[in-house]
Amino acid sequence: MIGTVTTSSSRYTLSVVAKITFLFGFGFFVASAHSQELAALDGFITDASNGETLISANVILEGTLRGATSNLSGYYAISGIEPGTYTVRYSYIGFDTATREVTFAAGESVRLDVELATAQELLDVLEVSADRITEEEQRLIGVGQISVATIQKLPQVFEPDVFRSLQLLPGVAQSSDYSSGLYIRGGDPGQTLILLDRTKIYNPSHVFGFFSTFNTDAIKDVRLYKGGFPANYGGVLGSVLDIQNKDGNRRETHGKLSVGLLASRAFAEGPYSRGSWMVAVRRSTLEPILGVLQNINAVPRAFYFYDFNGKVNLDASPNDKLSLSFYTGSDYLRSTFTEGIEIKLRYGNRTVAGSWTHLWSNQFFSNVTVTTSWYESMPRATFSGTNFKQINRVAETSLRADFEYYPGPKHDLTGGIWAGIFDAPLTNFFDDREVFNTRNRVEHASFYLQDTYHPTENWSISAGLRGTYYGYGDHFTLAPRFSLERQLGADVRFQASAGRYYQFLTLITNEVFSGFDFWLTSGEGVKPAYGDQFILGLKTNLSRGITLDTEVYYRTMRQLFVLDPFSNGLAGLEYSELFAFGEGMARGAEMQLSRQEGRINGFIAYTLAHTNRYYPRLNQDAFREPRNFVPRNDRLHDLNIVGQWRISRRWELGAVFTYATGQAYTRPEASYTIYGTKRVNGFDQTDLLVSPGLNQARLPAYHRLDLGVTWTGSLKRFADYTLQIQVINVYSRSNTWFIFNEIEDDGTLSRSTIPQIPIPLPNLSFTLDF
Amino acid sequence: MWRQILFTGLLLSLVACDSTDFSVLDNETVVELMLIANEPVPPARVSKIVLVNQSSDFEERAITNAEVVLSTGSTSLLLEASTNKPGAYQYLGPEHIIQPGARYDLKVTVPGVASLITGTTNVPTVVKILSASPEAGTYLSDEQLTLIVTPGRGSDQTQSSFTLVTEALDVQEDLLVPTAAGFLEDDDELTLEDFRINGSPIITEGNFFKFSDGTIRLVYPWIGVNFYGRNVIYVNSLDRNLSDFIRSAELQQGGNSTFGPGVIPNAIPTLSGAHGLFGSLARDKTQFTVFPPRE
Repeated sequence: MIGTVTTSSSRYTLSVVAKITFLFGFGFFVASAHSQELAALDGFITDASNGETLISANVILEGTLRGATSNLSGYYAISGIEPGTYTVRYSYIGFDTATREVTFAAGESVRLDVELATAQELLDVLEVSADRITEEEQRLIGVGQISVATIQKLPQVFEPDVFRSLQLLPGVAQSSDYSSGLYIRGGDPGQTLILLDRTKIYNPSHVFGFFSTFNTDAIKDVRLYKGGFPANYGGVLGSVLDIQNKDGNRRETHGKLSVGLLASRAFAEGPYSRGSWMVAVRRSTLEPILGVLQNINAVPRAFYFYDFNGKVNLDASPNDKLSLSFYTGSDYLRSTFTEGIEIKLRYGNRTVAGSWTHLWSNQFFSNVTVTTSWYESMPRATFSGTNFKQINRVAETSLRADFEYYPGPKHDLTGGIWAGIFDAPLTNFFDDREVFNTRNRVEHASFYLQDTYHPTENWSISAGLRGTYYGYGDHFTLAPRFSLERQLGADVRFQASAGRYYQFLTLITNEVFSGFDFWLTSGEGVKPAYGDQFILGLKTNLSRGITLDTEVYYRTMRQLFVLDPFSNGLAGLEYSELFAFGEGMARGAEMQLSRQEGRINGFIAYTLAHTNRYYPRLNQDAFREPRNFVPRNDRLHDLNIVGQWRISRRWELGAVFTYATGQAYTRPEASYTIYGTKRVNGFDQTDLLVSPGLNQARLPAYHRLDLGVTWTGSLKRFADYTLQIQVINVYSRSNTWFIFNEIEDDGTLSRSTIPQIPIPLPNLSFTLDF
Repeated sequence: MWRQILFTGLLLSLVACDSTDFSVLDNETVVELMLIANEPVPPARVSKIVLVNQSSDFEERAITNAEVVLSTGSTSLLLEASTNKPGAYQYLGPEHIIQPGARYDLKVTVPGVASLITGTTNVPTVVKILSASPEAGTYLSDEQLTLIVTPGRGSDQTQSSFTLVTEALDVQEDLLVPTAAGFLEDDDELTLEDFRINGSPIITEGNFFKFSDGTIRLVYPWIGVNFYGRNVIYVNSLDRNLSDFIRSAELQQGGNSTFGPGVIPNAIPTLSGAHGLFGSLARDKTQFTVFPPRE
């Protein structure tokens, strides 16, 4: 049996963390009474070159350990400052540090918006002082980050891709060369909340899972909470990926055109009288290739994908910022095979988010966002005049309101609500008749409150509570979160986190093909899944700007519900009969050795991990006993080495090496044949495979080396250009995707190896920046 | 630095490998017996499982000295080993017709095998095609064969599980429908015989229109037809075991699966102590003639 944490101990954990949360709330009210005579500082931190707000930039009052980090809106606030004169230091990776002398009178509030200049010269220096890294790197527990600039430079299959880049971080596993799915700390892709400008994305894939749906031209910030995420996020068991689109250049109009082997992109941004705007378009350009290959039977008759991002910002007043962002993307496929068989599929997402940020005072910040997210997948097939069709939609409209309150030097308080309506109709048609229809229309509402307490300069302790009401099944959940950080000397920080997480949705997906993905919810007879996470971390600044981050985690997954693969279709079943129920656990240790600046930079990420699942209905051994099994994404070892070498101002080399323990797979050890089924299922005989258990064997280890070279230059001041030449799988490693088993006519069992990308795959792109 | 290394070492020691062990397959027994309502007791088969690299020849794997007993209520029926078909067991006693709606138990004892093999099936109640119209139709026309059926169901089932099977009576290459003709042309290993009988996946009662009297309306899809001409249409109502077995086979072949590639679940067992199938079905049939579309 898996899961060594018993239900009673889980309840104990819940109780303890809830009590701590209460005590923190009490402490906050006591502390706030002393804030009247103290001064405060707040403002926005932006990029001087384009006016983009900078997320997670650091602000420090020199000579103290008082500081703050800018939030998703680029806003920072420090309160409870003793009157006096201070040097305030602003820093952010890749930017020059800025300092300001500020004198605070008793009770004075100072608003200081700061622009940081891009430090181009940093790219040319060999060494960066450790102090600089100390100041600039926040490195929160459980958080993984990779810059958009790095994503665009890494050698990747056809397109720079956010998800494939995230797969290089410790704790994030990939399933195959053909999938961009995120398997984070033992969880499956459905356990990750994916947000774009605070809006949920329900199917973040293009080309049926090969790429993620995010155009890197449009993105400003990618932040992955691999676990232990704070109370302002919820609704998932595992992790949160929070992506922010660019606001648009507030200084000048700027454009970019890129041509690649698979797709081409166009991007434009610029200012207007009251703010900024941004649009980014990407479309596949495969039609000419498909046209040439039309005579090959398996080649689709039509295929394309596109996406379109846009954002408009309005600086209504110094204290009010409004933005409207939208995204639409779609994939379309049409294939015909033998006469009489045709398959069509269209799927995609659309989102709109309207956001209002308001500064009520230098101690109180708020953001209100209204979002709609719409996902539709509509596969259709015609087989000998018989039509199959599925209409699968998700439509969610929600309202988020978040606040941050800085009452004094010892407390930072955040809170908010998130309420909405989730509507997910799923209808199946067979032979033009509706045969299944389920519609989960659910009202849901959440609140959260979190206090970060700084009892001394070396300690930071956070406690939060998130409550959620989920209308279908009338489920109410309370999820406490707790974390602490202790500075152990100048270069070492110890971090710990614990929390409970609930999930109300389950993603029904097939790893091979994401175009049919759909979501089902907890409901009548189906309780929400839940799990606990425990994380310890140590963040160290080594010499010469090198950092070493280590984390260890343990997490449980309980009341998991997945579509029962053994059910005979969906029609005529009670809702709870659609599911198989189970549980799981994951544990692991992660290390990341990084050098983020200098001519040679990159990181080495290593993960030692294990995860398993227990679904009595899905895995029984040869003696019919339910058994644990490891999912395909379980890896004992996972190593990624990512390096970039800036040879000169024009030339840059990039390399990525990956090694991972072979994936788990089922290796049948026996078979048998039933002979009398001809007039039951149409087959002369029905062959069944028998294995000792699900995924009891391992494929050979996975490894791959990708190389790329980037050449940049200028076209007579008209534009800058970038030419990228990359080779994926340089040394032709034939990694195994899966083993295909087949019982031959003579009854023997044959096994064939289906490879991942088996040959060196070139990639070429050209970008004009003007 | 040393603290980091020490901490890292401590963390690594916490992440132990999974000690899951797996059972080793031995020469396990395979039993096959599928009862059909209102038909005589069919023969059973008893053999050993085929391990990888072993001969798959049934006669070599046949178990010839098992004791096979089928019982219902107070009636026990001994199936005796066939003298000319190794591994086959036939009921040679007074005629016994499988009773619709009845429960049947199977007990198999194999000398030298400690575990007793047992199974239970609840035979579905009678399936009857009350009406079938039209008797003939043009391929892909709107006028499809429509059946009104009384659904059979085992006592342990909440809804009926059907398969629809078409058996062509006029098996000629020039009578193949275009899709089947395309398959035959593309694959040299296929023969006309491969198209003669065509079965559907499992379709549950919830897929059909249900009348207030419990009967259902079943519109036969053109996808079931491989040949123009005369076709016999079987409506099979499967008991829970047979339904689980067929679904397991579909799943292992990748049909409608949410399992990743290379992940193959074992079949849902229909017997205790052995692999194989002990199940039952009720069926009825009708005939339908298909005309080619007019040019």
